[in-house]
Amino acid sequence: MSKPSSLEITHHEDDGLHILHLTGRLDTVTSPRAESQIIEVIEKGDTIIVNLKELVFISSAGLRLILIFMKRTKKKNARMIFCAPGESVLKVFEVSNFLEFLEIAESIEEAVLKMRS
Amino acid sequence: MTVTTEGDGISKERALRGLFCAGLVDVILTTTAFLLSNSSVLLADFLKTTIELIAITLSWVAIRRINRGGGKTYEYGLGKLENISSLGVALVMLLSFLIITANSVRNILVPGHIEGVGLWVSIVAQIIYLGINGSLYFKNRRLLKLSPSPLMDSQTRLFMTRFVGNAFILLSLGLSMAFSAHKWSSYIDPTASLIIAFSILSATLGIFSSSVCDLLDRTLEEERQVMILGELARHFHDYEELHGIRSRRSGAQVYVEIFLEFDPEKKVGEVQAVIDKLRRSIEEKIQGSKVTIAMTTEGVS
Repeated sequence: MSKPSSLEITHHEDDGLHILHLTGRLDTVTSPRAESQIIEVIEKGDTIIVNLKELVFISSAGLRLILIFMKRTKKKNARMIFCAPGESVLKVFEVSNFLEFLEIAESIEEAVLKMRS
Repeated sequence: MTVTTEGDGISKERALRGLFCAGLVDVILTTTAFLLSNSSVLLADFLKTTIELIAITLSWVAIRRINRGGGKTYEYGLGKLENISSLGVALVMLLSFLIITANSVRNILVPGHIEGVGLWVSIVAQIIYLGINGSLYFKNRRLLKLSPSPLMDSQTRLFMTRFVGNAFILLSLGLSMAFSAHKWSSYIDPTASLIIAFSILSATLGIFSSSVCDLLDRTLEEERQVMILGELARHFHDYEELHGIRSRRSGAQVYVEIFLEFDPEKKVGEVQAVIDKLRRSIEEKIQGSKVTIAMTTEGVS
């Protein structure tokens, strides 16, 4: 189980494809650090996959960040795909209308295929 | 709209003026009854009706001030006057609780039978009020069943509380007088007044917590913040960037500031239409909210 209000972000690049793994909670406490780290990746790459499989909680602060990321990627004609969100995170996306503009994949493999196609 | 707000305020002021007149009559009756007897229950009844009159007077004054506006000095914070008034009432209620409790404890330690003309004054008044409050309670309950609304619900509860209060005092006085030949009956009056004291204390704690919470500017509830983001998501393609959101709750008001960047190629009229649409949709979703959407190209903390 992840500690309360902790978020671990790992990043690796594979042939121009940036993959981010988010583990823990994306909330008011963790979002400032997440913002600077992920914005840095968006500035560097054009194809970004965010793996949400280990993200156990997302608050309004986390949603705000995702909205900002999507706007940044759109502005620079980049692409960001979110993959494997858990049931609770997916529910938050659903009630907050985020599914209207987010690109979601069920797994990293599916997200990579989408990016490569 | 401003017109609606003023209309509500004026009708509220009129209603409070009517309540003030009715409360004044009530206080005159309970004061007479209390002064002409040695009953703890009648002391509690006198303090309870006095508190009600103070609360009505303060609300009336606050509403009058709000309706007349705060001038340039208090243009943003006059709504809090209602909360400050409530805190003042809560302090008086706390004082009343202490007075009634001290008097009841004294009468339990040194018991004595209640007597005096005041008892009969109160009994007549309680019977009259029991009839008025009872008929208003049943009338409101009937109306509530026909057309349920929060206002009708609160009115029904108000008259039920008063009806039960009148019945309680009448029962207490009746029992004390009917069994005055028995020694134990001298404990009925102080015990009943202790029950009234604790009901006042319970109401005091409720007013304290709600007024203090409303006086302090609070972070907007998570559910409401998600609602704001939901609306921004629904209009995702209408703006270029989200630079920040500031939101807070002050009393019953919710203030939301959203900082957005728009496509510089867009005409001012188009941007204004998006701003108006977004503002309206958030204000419709969050009751009592005032939404400001500012155009910016820089991040806002």
